[in-house]
Amino acid sequence: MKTQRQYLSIKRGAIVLFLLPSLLLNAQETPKFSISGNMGVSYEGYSVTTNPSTPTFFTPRKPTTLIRFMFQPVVSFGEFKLPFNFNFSPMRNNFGSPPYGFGNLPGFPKQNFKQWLTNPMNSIGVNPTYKWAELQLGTQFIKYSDLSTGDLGIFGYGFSLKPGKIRLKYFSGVSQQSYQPFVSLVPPATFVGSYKRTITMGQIGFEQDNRYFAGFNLVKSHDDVGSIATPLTGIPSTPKPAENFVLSFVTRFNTEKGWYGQTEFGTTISTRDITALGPNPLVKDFKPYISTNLSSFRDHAAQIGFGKKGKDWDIGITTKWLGAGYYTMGYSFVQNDRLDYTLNTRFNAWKKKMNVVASIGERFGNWSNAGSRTKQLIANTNIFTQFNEHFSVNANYNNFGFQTPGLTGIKNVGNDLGINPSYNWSTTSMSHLMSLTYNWSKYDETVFPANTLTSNNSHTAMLMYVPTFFDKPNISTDFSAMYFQNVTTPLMTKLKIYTVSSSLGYHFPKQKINLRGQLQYNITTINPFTASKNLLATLGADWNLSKRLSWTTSMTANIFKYGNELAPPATLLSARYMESTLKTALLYKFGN
Amino acid sequence: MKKILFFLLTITFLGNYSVLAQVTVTLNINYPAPTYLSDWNNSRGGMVTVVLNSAGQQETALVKFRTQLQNSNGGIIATSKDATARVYTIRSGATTFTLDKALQLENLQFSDGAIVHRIQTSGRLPADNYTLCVELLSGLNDVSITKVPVCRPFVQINYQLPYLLIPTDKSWLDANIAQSLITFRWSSLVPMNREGVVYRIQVFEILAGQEPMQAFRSNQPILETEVKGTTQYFWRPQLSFKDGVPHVFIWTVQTVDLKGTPVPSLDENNQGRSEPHVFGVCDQLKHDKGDTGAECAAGRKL
Repeated sequence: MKTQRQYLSIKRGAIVLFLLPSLLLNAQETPKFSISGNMGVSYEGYSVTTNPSTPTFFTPRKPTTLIRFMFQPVVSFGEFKLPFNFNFSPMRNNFGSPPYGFGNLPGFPKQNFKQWLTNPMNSIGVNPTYKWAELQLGTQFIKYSDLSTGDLGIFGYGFSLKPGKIRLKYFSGVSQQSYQPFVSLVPPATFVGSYKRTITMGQIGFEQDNRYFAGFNLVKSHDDVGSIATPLTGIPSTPKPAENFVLSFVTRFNTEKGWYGQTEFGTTISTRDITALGPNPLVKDFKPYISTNLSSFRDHAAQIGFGKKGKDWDIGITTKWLGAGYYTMGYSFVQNDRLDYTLNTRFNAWKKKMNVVASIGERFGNWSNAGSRTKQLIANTNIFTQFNEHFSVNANYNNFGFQTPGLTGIKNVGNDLGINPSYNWSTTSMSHLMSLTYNWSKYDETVFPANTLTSNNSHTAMLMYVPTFFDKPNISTDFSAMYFQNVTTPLMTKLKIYTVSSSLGYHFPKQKINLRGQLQYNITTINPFTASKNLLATLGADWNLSKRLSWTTSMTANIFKYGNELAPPATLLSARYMESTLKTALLYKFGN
Repeated sequence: MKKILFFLLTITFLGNYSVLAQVTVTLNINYPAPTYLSDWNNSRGGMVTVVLNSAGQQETALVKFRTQLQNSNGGIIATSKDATARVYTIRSGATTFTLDKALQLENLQFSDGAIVHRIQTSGRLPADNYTLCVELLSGLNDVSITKVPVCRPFVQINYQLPYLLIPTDKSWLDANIAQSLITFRWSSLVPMNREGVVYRIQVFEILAGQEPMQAFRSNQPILETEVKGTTQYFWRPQLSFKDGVPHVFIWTVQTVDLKGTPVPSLDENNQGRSEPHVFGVCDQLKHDKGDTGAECAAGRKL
């Protein structure tokens, strides 16, 4: 009897839940159904042939086939929106994450469904939204702030609620699926494996759109110790299972008078090895979020920036400090133990004919150790001037100076100066554009292991000509020639590159087809070797098959012939390879 | 009962004494020492070997370590507490311990607040030369077995991975030049490894619809090449950039030693890769507006 009552209660609840969206939608006057976005499929085929075929002197740089599917419609019904983001491929490359390119190793286990679903290659997410409430399901790229989490795709579930000025967010999911270690004898290779990593994050704050925000971020990341059966402990060994907790406080503001700014203060507690012994007498637990052990450490970070923006100008300063142990799994590659500051400005001058963008700043690395602190100057300037409707000049200067202290210190100092005048003129039948680019670059570096200072001097000159025919508006073409030279002293190594290039396009208005092609020929000399030669040819077409369906395709052939730089062996004298690439994609657009 | 207890204690003491005179300790710390103190529990960093020579008889003994950490001037910066040191059982023959057993971080009393602060905040000792001294005590009465501590100097190196210099992060390059040449520069590994290192440059194309980190983690690199000594690479892409669409890339430098082992980093999964940067190649660059000095007219953002 009780079971039947429970059943009826559940049934009623289900009916109410099922009807709730309809009831909510009926509450509005005229809910409009619409669908926008797009879907498509792309294919890329790649092959390479080498002559001679052995010994190997060139390895393929793309997968033989790459198929990707995309399904990104946004279904709207009144204030209810259902955006899909399905972007996936059956391939597995994974060069920057486990299994680090081992996926195609003979005998390597095929990825299971969980691994495929959470593979960074695939993004399968849906975000149903009703007014201020959003559900986040599947793969999401969620950025909370610069010091907490932001650039990783995470497969999981969560929500983002924005009632009034309150902001409440939560998300939990897998950023890295587990892979068991794998050792191959033929070919000899060792894949160390990786633990399953889960990231859980939350944000609570207050916000007025485009005016201010203040809130706390909490991020807990955790490797599942049980997800690897037998970790490798030799050389190389499996990365240890780690744990990480981040707490940060963020503020942002914009005023009507043009002032803007942001601050963030963060602290992290990181456990490098969950299996290490505890407790740690130096780093206390922060329960219920994280329990420390002997591999734990805790550090802080801060980021402050503010400035003022006018109609034709903007000036601001930002500074960022990351302690030596500041680490978040949400930005796992970020370099810590550093202090940066940058002054940025942008303004228009000379009756708005001149646009200047400039920044100058310094970066100090190894900040916690004054004796071996590194110092890097960062300076950029870009000045564009439109003198009149025919003539413009763009000039830029960059300086990147990286040095470490002491007589045996390291030096990497680069100075780049570029200038690019452009002139256009017209006759009754056609217009002409001539553009010249010249770039000078000097790069001094300490070369190891000899510990000598080497200087690189580079010059680049490029001339481009673009004619436009008034009586043949469907034709587009350009021609360019480039010369590059780099001299390295004291070794006096010279690298020279000569390139000529031309492209041609034709538009068939009736058939709605665009044809385009490009030819590029290139000669490279590196003393004391003979010249290598390269020809690249591309032919492509875009075809609007219907109002919503388009098809793009292109074929590229790249032929490269070496000089004598690969010899000996004698068989590699004038060795050559040919790459062929075919790209084709179908794209369907939903809606109007 | 008291007699039996006295007899057992006497036997144990004598037994230990006979054992104590025949114990040798060898301390081996590889160069450089493991970067993080928590990595001292891995045999790759070195080990402690305790040999109990009992003239053919199978014997056991209870022992504990007395540890002293000295700085480059010979000053004592940390000592262990005998009373709370962990007790181990050793048997006849050789017994090996990982270095964390000898260091006993959980049982050290530091006399230098700056070093405590560094360990608290980074899990590492400050970069310097140190000496680790280990003495073996009886696990029963804290009497020294080895009499003289065994000391080994070690070098603590805290590497900082290279910064990527050019192309700068989120910058556009002109396709007319980039189709022939793209120059990559990065700063050196600091401090430089005395055997030298190999820089592995990796460039990944960010395909349409992909996020930068998605491409970085999953795509096959369009460029993967190694250079030694220098921190510059001229790439001749041999790619078709003037096809009307912008091409966006994410690049990094992976720093490995001459054996191919990645330089230690905070996240072991990174395999010695530097913080990646994004750049784009565009054949319709616009310089007349934008906050960065150049924007791509085709509309794709970096």
